[in-house]
Amino acid sequence: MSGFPFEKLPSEGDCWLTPPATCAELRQEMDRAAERFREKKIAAGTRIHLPMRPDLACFARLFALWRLGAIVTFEPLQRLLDTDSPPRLLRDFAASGQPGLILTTAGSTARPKAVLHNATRLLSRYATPGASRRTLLFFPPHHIGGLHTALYTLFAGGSLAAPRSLRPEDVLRCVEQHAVETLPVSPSFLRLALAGGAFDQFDLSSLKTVSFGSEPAGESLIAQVRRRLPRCRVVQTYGSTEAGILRVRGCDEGGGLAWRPDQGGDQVRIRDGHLEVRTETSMLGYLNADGEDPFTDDGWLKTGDRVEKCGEGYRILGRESEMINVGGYKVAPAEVEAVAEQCPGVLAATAYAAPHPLLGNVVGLRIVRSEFRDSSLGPRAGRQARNEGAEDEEDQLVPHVREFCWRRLPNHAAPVTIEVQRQEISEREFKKRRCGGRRAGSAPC
Amino acid sequence: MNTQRMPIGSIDGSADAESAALEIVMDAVAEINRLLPEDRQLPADPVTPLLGSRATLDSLELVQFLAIVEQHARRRWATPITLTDDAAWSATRSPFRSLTALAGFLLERRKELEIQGPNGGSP
Repeated sequence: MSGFPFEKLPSEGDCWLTPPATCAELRQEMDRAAERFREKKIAAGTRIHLPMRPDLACFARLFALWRLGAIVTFEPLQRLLDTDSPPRLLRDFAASGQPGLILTTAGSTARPKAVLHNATRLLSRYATPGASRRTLLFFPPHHIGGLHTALYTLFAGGSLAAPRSLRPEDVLRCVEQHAVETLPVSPSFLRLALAGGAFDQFDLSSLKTVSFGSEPAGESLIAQVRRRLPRCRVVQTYGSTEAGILRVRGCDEGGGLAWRPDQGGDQVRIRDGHLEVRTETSMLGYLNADGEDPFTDDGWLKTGDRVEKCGEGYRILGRESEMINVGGYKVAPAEVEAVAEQCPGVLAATAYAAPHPLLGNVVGLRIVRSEFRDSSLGPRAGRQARNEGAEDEEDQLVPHVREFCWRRLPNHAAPVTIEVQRQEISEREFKKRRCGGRRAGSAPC
Repeated sequence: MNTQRMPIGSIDGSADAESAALEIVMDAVAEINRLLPEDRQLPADPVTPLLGSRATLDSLELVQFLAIVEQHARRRWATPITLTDDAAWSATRSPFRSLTALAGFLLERRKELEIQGPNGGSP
């Protein structure tokens, strides 16, 4: 027996809304899938590739495989490592008969890392069910955020709604149609939805919680969302492919951007400005990152995220790999973005390292203009400015943003290269892309 | 100072072109001075040095100033001009020795771009 807590899955009520399905149907589908997998000789320790889609059938197959003790990978493993000669960590784990999960890190590095989890440990997170809610499945289910959303909801007896696409209109229409209560999204999605006016097009009164944890958010973004959804909790969470999703609560410190671990749950600490966690849901290790040990000698997982203590909570500043080194000073992109996004006329900002021959790097900033607040720029802006060309936008807004940031940030953190663009958000991933900016003679990113 | 866009045309080193380049630099001086405290304003004088013992800007302020000059040049000439590459910083006679020298360097870069195209001579 795998140790998979199958008995914890509810047996009554609805579990899926798009299309409707009940918990009983999920269990039946799981039993049928398990039978098919047994016939195919899939057993404990078998590695199997399961392409995931946001539907009930895929989760039934996933649960069936875990019941059998299989090690599931959402991407073909041969792309990530030599499957004919797998690393010892994977061989030993397969021999243990425990169900497993291999996730891949997002492609912020040249080669995605294969991350091995013990599925039983990962699922222990859901042994004590949380609130039963109608929840929108925003992140794809092969992403730790999407997987967590689905598992949390299904084990809590809630029900999932998957939108037709991640366009703001489709997502918020799904909220309206299915009276969704919990909306886990990314800050970039919220910026895009606010920019396009999607919040005004749908009845979102069912929403009780909007959460985001895939990237740091700015205070001004949280304030905007709270203004639009005054009865809704807006909370920052924390998780990663390596750590799983921590049991945390959003707290009011730091403008609502901070979180703290639930009592008696996961342990967190700060070492040299970096977050380290000790949690049941941590990965067992990387399968294709030779020589890279993400654990400290005393067993804490080094997350690579820079963090600061904020009252009783913690506030994420960004990935260490995204820190901008300006002449030896470390600048957190999130700090710059938080300031820039408070500047009148700026809807969203993305800070990045722009190479510089004198300082190594300077802070580059891409900004998306606010369509709604141009009048605050002064008499030269407003409607007239909206009708002028992109160069005129830059003429007016760039000096304004430069001065605004210079007065509020240390000089080394003030953006030097500032670009205005209509769209800075990756619609596919809904995450900020902190690649270098455009300079003369170089290709746009 | 007047910052109307010039029509994109030949930059031949004429007095008009030199005057336009100096105007760009002086516009940038006005903008950087909005960021600087009263007692550390950058004099809008063509001989004002940007580097060396008599310079008033620190390195971060100088980097900001040059970015502002680039921004004004792009606006005026509708073409991206880079002032802060390795060649600029390692030149024997620094283009940052005075505002006039910077204006001359700006014009030089503009001419290079006109000859080579914005991709450095690639077709």
